[in-house]
Amino acid sequence: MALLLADSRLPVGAHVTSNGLEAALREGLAPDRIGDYLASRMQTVTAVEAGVAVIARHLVLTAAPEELPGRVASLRAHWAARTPSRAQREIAVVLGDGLARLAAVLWPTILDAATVTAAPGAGGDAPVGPGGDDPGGAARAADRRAPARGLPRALVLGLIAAAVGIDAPALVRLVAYDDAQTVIAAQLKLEPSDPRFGAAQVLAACAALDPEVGALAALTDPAQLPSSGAPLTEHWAEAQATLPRRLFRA
Amino acid sequence: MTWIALAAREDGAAGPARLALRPGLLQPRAIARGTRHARVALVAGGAMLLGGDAVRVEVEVDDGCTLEIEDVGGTVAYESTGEPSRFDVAVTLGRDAQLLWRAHPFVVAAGADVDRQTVIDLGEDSSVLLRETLVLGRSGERGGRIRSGLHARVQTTDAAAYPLLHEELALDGAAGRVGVLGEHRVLDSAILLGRRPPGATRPKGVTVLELDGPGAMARRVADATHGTGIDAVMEAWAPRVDPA
Repeated sequence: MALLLADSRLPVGAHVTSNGLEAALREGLAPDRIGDYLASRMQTVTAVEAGVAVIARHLVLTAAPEELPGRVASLRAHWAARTPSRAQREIAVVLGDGLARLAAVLWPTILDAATVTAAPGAGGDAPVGPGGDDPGGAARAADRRAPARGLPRALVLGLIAAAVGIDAPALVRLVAYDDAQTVIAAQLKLEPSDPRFGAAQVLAACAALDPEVGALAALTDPAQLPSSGAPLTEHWAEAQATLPRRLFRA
Repeated sequence: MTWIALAAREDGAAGPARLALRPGLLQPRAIARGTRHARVALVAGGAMLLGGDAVRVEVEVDDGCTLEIEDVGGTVAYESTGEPSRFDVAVTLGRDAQLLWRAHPFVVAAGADVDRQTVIDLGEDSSVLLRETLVLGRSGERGGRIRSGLHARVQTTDAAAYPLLHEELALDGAAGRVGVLGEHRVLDSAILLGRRPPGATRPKGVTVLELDGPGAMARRVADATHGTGIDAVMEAWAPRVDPA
């Protein structure tokens, strides 16, 4: 199941983001520092996202059913408070909606239990992403049930992980792998180089996070989520949103 | 501990607001006082921050009052002698209370090791505008290490407090990280909490991060403290925390 969710060919719209790499390169990030960019992301945004996924999984497994939507809404608020860039929040929700659309077909009951009415000021009415492929009538029927819109991808991933039996350390590694692979896949379009070195950089970035996997996987309380900021990364995310003649949306 | 507390007169009668000041390593001095308003200057009591120093400033603004704080001179955290130093700020705002704090640069000298935590509790309809300028190193230096946290939550009457902003920055002048500050040495911010910013002002090079809840941070990563554009943002945003 983790293999499926880690596959970039999954029809969830992940190809629209470079995780800010396009703007970073445009603003002078040297291509030979991309590995360092991956490492910084692991310590900052990726740690927040991985923590959100782990706690979402924990909530599904432990919260009373009637309390789950409220707990999920609270987790979403804690994620948003640690994601000051609106551009980063918007792309996370676009990707979360994409994943929720897929989940509505593959695991139709998973997200219903956690479906939230958006918290005050939580922007739960965020526009839905383009989605792209239409798997057919089943997807359209699922759409009418409006599965858990407006949740960030990491949170949706955690809800799915709880239901399909992905354990917390594997979930952390899944988030980390996806983050690094997204940057490197974009690099191959923006600054083409030997793809074998890109794969090596993904592995190095994931290895750099390894010492943190245990602590991240043990998180249960949204208040304990990491909140490591990265001002230049946030700046690039915002700059990307208004970049002229861009390849990537984010 | 330095303590600054502002409250209106209980009976609502005429006369200046009650302003309580207690000096710590920083000394508060009253500059002006009105019925629901006060302006206070913060003056360093001596050389700051040396290794092992622990500065703590607590600010309380009661319902309906507005406090302005001005720093007199910036802060320099000097080379630590094995012990880190601390600089903590706790702000508590009542209902419809406002705080405008024009802080001067916080300089982290080479070899310094500083923990800094700013915790802000906002009451309903309250707001804060805070300047924060972190500088790694005096001129010609690469600067030391700082862990700077900013944590804000909003209390509402009908629900539990909700988180507005949680950020921990780990900066090291000797080891810049790509995507954090890179090789730059200045992070200049105007931080508005409890209000959404007016849309117009966005000087070139300034990134405005609009929070999910009511608030925003205008930021510039730079190599010097002058010309960052954050002065202009402070001027544009200040009316948002003005009760008039």
